[in-house]
Amino acid sequence: MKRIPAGLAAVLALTATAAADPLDTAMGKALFARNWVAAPASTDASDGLGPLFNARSCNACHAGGGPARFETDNGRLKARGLVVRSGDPDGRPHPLLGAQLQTEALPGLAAEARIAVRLQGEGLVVETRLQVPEDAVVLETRIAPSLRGRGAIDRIDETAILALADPSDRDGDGLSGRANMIADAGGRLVPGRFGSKATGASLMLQTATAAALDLGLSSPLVPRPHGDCTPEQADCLAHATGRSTITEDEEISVDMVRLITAYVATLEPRQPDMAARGFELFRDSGCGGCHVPQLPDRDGMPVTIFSDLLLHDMGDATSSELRDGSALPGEWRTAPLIDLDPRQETRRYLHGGKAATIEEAIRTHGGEAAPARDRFRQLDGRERQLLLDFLAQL
Amino acid sequence: MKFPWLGLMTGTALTLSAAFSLALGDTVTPKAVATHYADMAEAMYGDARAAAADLQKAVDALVAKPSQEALDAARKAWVESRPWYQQTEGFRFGNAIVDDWEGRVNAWPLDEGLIDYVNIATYGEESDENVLYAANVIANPKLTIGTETIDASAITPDLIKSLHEAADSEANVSVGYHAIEFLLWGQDLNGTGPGAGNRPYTDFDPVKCTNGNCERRAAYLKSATDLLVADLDEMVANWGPEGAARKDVLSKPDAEALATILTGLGSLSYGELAGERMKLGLILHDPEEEHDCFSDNTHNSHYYDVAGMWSIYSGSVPRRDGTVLEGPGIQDYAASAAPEAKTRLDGLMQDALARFKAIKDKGDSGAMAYDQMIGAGNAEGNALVQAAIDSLVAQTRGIEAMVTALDLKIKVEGSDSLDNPAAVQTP
Repeated sequence: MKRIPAGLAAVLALTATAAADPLDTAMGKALFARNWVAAPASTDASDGLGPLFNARSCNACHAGGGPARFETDNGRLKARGLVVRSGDPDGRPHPLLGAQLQTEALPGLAAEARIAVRLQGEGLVVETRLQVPEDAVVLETRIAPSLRGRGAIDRIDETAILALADPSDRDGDGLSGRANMIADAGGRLVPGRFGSKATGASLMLQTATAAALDLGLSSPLVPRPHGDCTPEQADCLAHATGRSTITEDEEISVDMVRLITAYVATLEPRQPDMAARGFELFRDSGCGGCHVPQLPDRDGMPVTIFSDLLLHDMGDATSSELRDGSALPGEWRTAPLIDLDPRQETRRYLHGGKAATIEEAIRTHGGEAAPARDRFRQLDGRERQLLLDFLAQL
Repeated sequence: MKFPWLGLMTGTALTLSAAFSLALGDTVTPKAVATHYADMAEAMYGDARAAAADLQKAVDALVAKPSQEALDAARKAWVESRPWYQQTEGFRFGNAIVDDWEGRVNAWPLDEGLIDYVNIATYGEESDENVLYAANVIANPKLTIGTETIDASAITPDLIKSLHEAADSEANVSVGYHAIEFLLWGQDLNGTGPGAGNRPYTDFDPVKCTNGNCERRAAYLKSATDLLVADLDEMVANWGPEGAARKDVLSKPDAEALATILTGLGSLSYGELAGERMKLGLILHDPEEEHDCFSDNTHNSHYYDVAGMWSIYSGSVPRRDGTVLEGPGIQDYAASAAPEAKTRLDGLMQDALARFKAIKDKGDSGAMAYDQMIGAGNAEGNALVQAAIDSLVAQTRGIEAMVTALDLKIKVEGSDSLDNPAAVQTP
């Protein structure tokens, strides 16, 4: 892997966004923060929320483009940006509840569930009360990632991702790495790169999917005017939608998705100090086998994301029973190590927020990551801290 | 409609000088600028509050004795209340107390279907008649929102406030100027054609009641108006002698206090007004991506945003009683501290005022309402709006240049990436 001078990536990122209308990102930021309203409203371009939804705005879960946060208010833990995914026993989206439990609904409809969180020691306990009791349901928690560096991930050359894939571990290094091949907006099969199971083919598609699943906003990219309503939820399907000719016969137009994406792409990763001892320890422990520090973008310039964007088996401790695209239970996309700042302990880590600290997240790794995890354990206390400090400033 | 200070504003504009004059040799300190900034905020919110109290009287009269005249008078009072609020918007960004509160008075877009009936016939439903969308507060004494069941048997300010604040920090928009506007006008179903909303006064008449639940609708209108006056009272007090917002800005070091003023002006100019309220509507050609969409008053609300920015910059505030509050604005401080940046920004702000005056004049003439200006294929209207947007973008650059010249640091809303971790905050 070639090293690049620090700062070069940042300069390149600036030139990549410089061509856009300067107001694009301002409009995108406004749409990101907009509280969408129920249809029908007079504001055709601003309605379409729900009928079932988890949040009214992107910003509700990704405040300022950041990750899920866990704050204690009057002794009560509150999670913002935490959702519960739902599936049938086979791991497919649940026939009644869909792929995710929506905790809000438009007036006249009942939300699917009430979700409460609390701490047991350091452990996060997520209590889900379903509005309609269901036995055959698999529930898994997911927390909102920071959106920093998502523009960088979007720019990465897909052939570089595919070149790292080694599904049957032919090189015998103990790391498999499988691309989650998925159709892009044009129907071409490409390696997915966004989402905990690499199901998002591009930042625009991932944004459109989040709009549909979390807010109930459909777009020509993900045309689901009733969001995550299922055929069994007749009252939800009967609800008015915010479809309008102004928004290309959906609730938000491709242009609106593009503007939001343009804003998200301005949230650049910080430039890590690659000369730090912590980085050497990270590399020498083998973390970089999956958390590949840099991949080339489409112009061949290195981008620092600390991920191979491939699916790996992380072992039982983080096992998942839900499928997503071709991702199997137990497989996760290597999380990009971008913006790991603990934010005064309001932050949690891993896909479902299981880990309270970066150290706990590392110790929870298993499966293909077990050898690297063990080398981390064997570091002396000072070295471990240097490695953790390096990660916290990413 | 007549605003006594419109002439004054134009006069100031033409002379290109601040109304506050200094004796030779006087210097304006940042502390004096910050103090006058707080005085202006107190006065401007005070005028917004007084105009809202006049609206409250008109609403009370309408509710007591519904008639076309009473409804017309209430609409007129609403339109006359708007400039006094809009001109305060330059205080929003940079003052956390104002920004946290703003959603209660001027939130938009509006959850109108939560408040009252809306016409879904325009959404391609089969019925020729207006199909009344029923899950609204006015029609339903008992409501389910998310997992909550809400007793709405009595419509009071507390009830509608609780609806607004339902679901944590993310609110249903059920209060504020635009909720009142919706109740007074009803939906504007004219698209980009001429005409505003056309609610009949009998919607508030318990005897000749149209569209049902007229007493509950009247109670909602009165509650929302009372709440608006109370919320404005709160903000006046925040800028009063012992107010938290005044203390906040006066306790800041000089550079931060000046940065607060320019953050407000820059953020309103750029992300908020040029970006969200204007450019987005122009791109989408959405007749209702206008700010005062039920009343077709957007040309005024945009103009007074810009006029208010000039007041805050220059330190010269036309009051509701016809007097002018004068004192040192940041313009006066910059006259000696950054004269070139000041001259440049003076010109850019005057240009923006002229562009918005052109929109206002076009709207006031009756030739074209703002929603028509942003309509597809309206080259003349689109050009008017685009020129105004461009002037605000230029004004923002002028503000940023002044920030640099004064050696300050600010973060203009929507203008750059979030490289500063301190900017990543909860909404």
